[in-house]
Amino acid sequence: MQTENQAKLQKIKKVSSILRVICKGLLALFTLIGLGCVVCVASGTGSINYDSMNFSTAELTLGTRLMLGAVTALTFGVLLKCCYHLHQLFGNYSRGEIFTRESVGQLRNFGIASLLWGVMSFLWILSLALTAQPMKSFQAHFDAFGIGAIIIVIAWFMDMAVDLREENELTI
Amino acid sequence: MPIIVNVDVMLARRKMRLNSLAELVGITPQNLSVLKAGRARAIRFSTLDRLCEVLDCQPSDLLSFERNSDSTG
Repeated sequence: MQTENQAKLQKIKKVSSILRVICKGLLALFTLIGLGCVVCVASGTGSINYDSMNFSTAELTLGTRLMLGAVTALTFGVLLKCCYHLHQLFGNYSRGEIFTRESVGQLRNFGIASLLWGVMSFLWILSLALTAQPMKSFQAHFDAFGIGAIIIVIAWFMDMAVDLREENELTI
Repeated sequence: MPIIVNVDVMLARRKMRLNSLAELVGITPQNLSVLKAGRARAIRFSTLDRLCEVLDCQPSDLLSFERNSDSTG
């Protein structure tokens, strides 16, 4: 039984290490793409694609471009936050720290980042509707709100489970 | 917590080592260390029973209550 549990733990550690490396790669990739996108949008050399609608930023005023650049930066910031918390969470798992308060904290922060992703979706629609394409209608994607809320609730349950485990472990 | 665990005092009185007490009581040295350091949240009656038996003492020799200075008003 002991060796079986150890084998399971080893499997968790191994898979988590791979996922951690993937998250690290995504962090680097999204940082580069994010920087490129912000520069393109703000300088008016690129275009924005939302809901299969393409807008050229060259026709926009400097103020609008800067605002859209800021929204782009915020979007990538949220994306990086998601990857960072996943990276930290898998780092904890790769060290065998699964039911710990630190892991629960990372999971909660990932949930908060998902909620922020929903906020960013709303912010994109608002900024595009107010500036670039006032006559068009956009479809909102609020799935991230639901996913984020569920992750936060799961993290809350896990936090209480950690309390119960500590209570159990510290009963001599 | 105002409950003080005096296992270290009883160990010194009986001139016993933590590891040998843990073995005689039937708990791990780590758990006994947690109890000794006052980090335990609770103690089972069965553990207390064995500790009293091995150390030949009363529960009051192992546990004491000290009122917090801020709760005395």
